[in-house]
This record gives sequence, structure tokens and C-alpha cells, in this order.
Amino acid sequence: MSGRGSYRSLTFMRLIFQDLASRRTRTGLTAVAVAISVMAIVTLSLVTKSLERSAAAVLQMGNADFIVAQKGAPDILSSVVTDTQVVGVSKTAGVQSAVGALIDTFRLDAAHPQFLQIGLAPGELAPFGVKIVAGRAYGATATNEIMLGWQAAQDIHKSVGDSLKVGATSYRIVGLYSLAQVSGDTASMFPLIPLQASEHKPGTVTLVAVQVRAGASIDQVRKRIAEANPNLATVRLASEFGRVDRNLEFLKAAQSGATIIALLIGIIIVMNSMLLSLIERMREFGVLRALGWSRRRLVSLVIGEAVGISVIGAALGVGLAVLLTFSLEHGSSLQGYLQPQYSGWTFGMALYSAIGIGVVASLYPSLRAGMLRPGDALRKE
Amino acid sequence: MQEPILQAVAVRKAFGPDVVALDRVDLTVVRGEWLAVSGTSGAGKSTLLQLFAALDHPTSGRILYRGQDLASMGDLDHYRRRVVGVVFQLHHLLPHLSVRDNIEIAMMGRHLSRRDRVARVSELVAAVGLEAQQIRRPPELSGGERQRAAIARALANSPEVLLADEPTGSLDPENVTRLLGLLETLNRESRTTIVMVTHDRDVAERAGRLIHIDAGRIVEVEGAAS
Repeated sequence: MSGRGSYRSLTFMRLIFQDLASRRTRTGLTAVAVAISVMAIVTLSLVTKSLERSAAAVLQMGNADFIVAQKGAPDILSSVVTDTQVVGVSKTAGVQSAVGALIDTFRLDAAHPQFLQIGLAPGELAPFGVKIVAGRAYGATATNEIMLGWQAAQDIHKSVGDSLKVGATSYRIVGLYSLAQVSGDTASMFPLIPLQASEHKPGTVTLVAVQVRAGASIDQVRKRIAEANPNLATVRLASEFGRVDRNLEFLKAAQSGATIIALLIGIIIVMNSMLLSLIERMREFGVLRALGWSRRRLVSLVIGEAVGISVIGAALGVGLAVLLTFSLEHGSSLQGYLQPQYSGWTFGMALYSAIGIGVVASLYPSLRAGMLRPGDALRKE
Repeated sequence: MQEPILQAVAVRKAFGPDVVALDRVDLTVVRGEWLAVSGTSGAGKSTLLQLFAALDHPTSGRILYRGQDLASMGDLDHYRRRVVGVVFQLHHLLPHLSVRDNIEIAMMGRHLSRRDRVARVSELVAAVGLEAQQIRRPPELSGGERQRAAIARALANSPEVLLADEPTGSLDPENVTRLLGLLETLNRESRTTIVMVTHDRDVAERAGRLIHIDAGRIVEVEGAAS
């Protein structure tokens, strides 16, 4: 203040802030509890979304209208589709092309523990959407030829003519390709038959990329394939991916369960804190009621304080989640697996979770505060 | 003409089966008077004040404001905010708020602009002589300063009736004189009705009328309502 007339008015927000600031320790500890809940929710979500994105990226490869894979496979890379089934799919009415691809990963180096390898017959490269941007395609039975996605080549500083060691085998890079899609362009490509042999998966592929003839109904074609092949599933959207990747479904279910637990823990801790605060401040609330504060205003004050604590918790929680995710991303066990993407949704979810915790947790304490009779409250010691 | 503003009609207030704080009390407070209520500790003085302040309900009987029963009044919040202002014996200021904020908090919920609220607080702070202490918090104030801050808060909404529960109980003689002067000015100049509980005979004599309560009953009345 500097003189008469320069004083600030007491706003409802400032009152909430001052109430919280006057109980710093309790506010801080409760906010930390909310932060831990928010951290758990945000980190689990980031990890799940990252893994879901990685898995669903397979959908975008192959220039396909949809993919066909083994129904209920533990994960997409464990899917087994036989050559016979590929032929059957290709002969289904309405199918333009059906390209069988063997997909797996290998450890290239510490920075690339899950380097994607795609096995395709040279004749299937064009239908799969592969464009050779340098060099040539590998031979159909060449056991030591490999193509690299152009982004992968840049990343590991390789070009046509260089050699690349995969396990004990040394391969010669004969060409660079583009699939116009990040997951494909950061992968490697092998001739199908030699890859089936080296992976001990003769006569099988992981999935079939299906293109539908112009004018044919995609849904009708999918239906025909599903009816003819009961152990296969068709996937068109990322949301359908769980049909061929049970682990992803389990992960999402675990995420949902853990999110509910984290929310409940946050709610219980904040509610406990607000109830203790209510008991301590009984007389204060009685005074406010004696001054003519309505029940609604008192309820709003208690809810406002809980939401204030929760917003502080949300900010802390997001910070902790970023730190935890960073450590998971760069930790030895998950390095290269996890590629979290932070977005407004991430921070919005943290804020909504925290506000949800605050509002739900403060409902009972705030109603109790609102129901206090001023005379009774003022008599409390 | 004497206009009743508050009335207690056959009021009984009991706390449980054994404790009767007030028993068949009939009392009329007229507009503009200064009424002192005296009695020993536990006689029922503060209970009467709480009933007039609508902080409690009588066990039986009625409390009337301008003839209307408080029990049938829909909006007691409005009554507490605009009709009565309460000065508690232990001031009950909020310790984490400044003197200014403690006064302004009583005005929250009224349709007043921030500027008007700030101006009203400044006016009250000057009236109770706390200009130098207005941004201090209650723990930084003396007992007299706290009581004056509590009076300013009670007057924030210009109530018709000031209900003061032993406002001089913890004050030294100098502060008692100052406080009584303030109440006298208020009663004389703005015709604010004052009901003041006190056990101090000297303080009680400053009022226009004195009633004495013993064991929950009015046993003596000195002076007449003016």
C-alpha cells in the first residue's frame, strides 16, 4: 500500500489463496499427494499412448486399406499367417492385392534396441508402396542383401554399398527406399524367403496388407475374409488394433485400472486433509456464517481451496511425470522403445484429473461446512 | 414513538436436558436504544445475544425482528449480514487476514463494487482509529486494537443493531473509555441500536437501560427504553 485508495479489494480468489498460504505445510503436502496421483496418471498414459502409437504404425505401412493378422495374437509381431492363408485372402472377391509381410525387430546397437525389419518379396515391393530412392531392390533369394529406409540410413550414417552387421551376419546395403511413413522409413527391408529362413518362420508372414478393388466395399471384403478365415482378424483403425495385439489391450486395461486407483488415492488424501481442515476451522466457518455468508458461498470456499490445492498438484505432477517419463525413455531397459509425445491433451488431462480430484474430494467436507449451524460452530474449541 | 426492533417472547433455550440457559425470557429492544445486559457468568447473557443474532434457535418461544418471527424468515443470511452486526467476546478475527480484509470479508456477497468496498473499509478503519494498523494481522495487534477491528467488521454493512458480547472484557481502562466513546457516537449519530452484554457495572451504566439476568431469567430492569 502507498496511501489511501490504493488498497486491494479482497476477492474470492485472493481469499482462497490466503487461506491456502496460511497453511503452507498442509497445502504443500496435500498438493504433493495430488501430484503423485497426477504423475502416475500422466506417465501411464504417455507410456501407453507411445506403445499404442508404435504398434499402430504397422497399420500405416503397406499402402493398404486394411491389414489381416492372427486373431488374438499376444502382440502384432507374434502374429502368424500362413502362405496358404495369404493366397486365400488374395483370392477373396473384391481384393486388388494382398501382400504378405514378415515383420520383426532386431538389436542393431544400444541406440536402436528394436530396429524394425520387414521381409517382402521383391515382386511385392511396389504393391506394398515401396519406392526405391537409391540403388536397387534386393534379389529374391539373396541371403546377404538388405535395403534401408532412407531415414534409417541417415540416422545410422549408411549408404548404398556399405555393409551392415545384423547379429553374426554381414549384409550389403543394395538400396534405399521410401514408404512415405516414418515407421517404415526408419526400418530395414529383407527379401522374404531368406528372412523367413533366418527367423525360423518358413512359409509364414506376420500380416497381410490388403488393397481393395475400386468400387468394392471395404467392409464387405473384410467380412468375407473374416468368414473364410476364423482365426484371422482384419484391422482398419488404430482403435481395432487390440484384436491382433492382446498385450496392448492388457496394457490399456492396466492403465485404466491404475488411473482409477491413482484418482481414488488422490481423492482420499485430499478429502482427509479437507476434513481435518474443517475440524480445525470450525469456529472460522461459524464466524463467516455469523457475518452473513451463505451456505453456498462457504461450500464454494471449501471447494475452491481444494481445487486450488489440486491445481498446484497438477503443475507439480506434470513436472514429475515429464521427469519420470524422461528417465524411462532413457533408462537402459526401455531405451528406444518409448517415444512419448507431449501435447495439450497431456497437460489438459493432468489439469482435469487434478480438478476432478479436488472437486470430488471436497464435496463431503464442503457440504459439512455448509451445514454447520453458526452457534454450534462458534462454541467449538 | 418507541418502535420495537427486536423482541424475545417467552424464550427458552436449553442445551440438553440439564442445562437451561434462558427460561421464559420476555424482552423488547426498541430502535435506537442502548441496552446493557449484565449478569454473572453462565447467566444466559451470551445465549440471548446469540439468539438475537440468529446464530441459534430458541428451544421454545420466539425471536422477532420488527414483529416477524426469525424462525419463519426465509433468508437468515440476509438478516445476519444486514440487520445485525456482532462483536464477539473473543473478537474472532481471522488471524491470517489483515485488519482491512477482516472487515471486508463481512461485505462479500453484497452487490457492492470493489471500489465501494475499499472505500467503506477505509471509512471504518478511520472511524475506529486503526489507520496505522490496517494492513497488520490480528496477532500483531493489541487487545484493544483487535476489539476495535472487530467492531469495524460488525459495522461493515451498516447494521440496524449492534450486538456486542462483553466487548470491553479484555481491555485496559484507556481502551474501555475509547471503545465506549465509539459506541456512544454510533448510537447517538447514526441511531444504531446497541445491545451490549457486560458484567462491568461502570460500563453498563453508560447504556440507557440495563437488564440483569440471573439463572436464565431477567430479574431486574433499570431505566426505560428510549
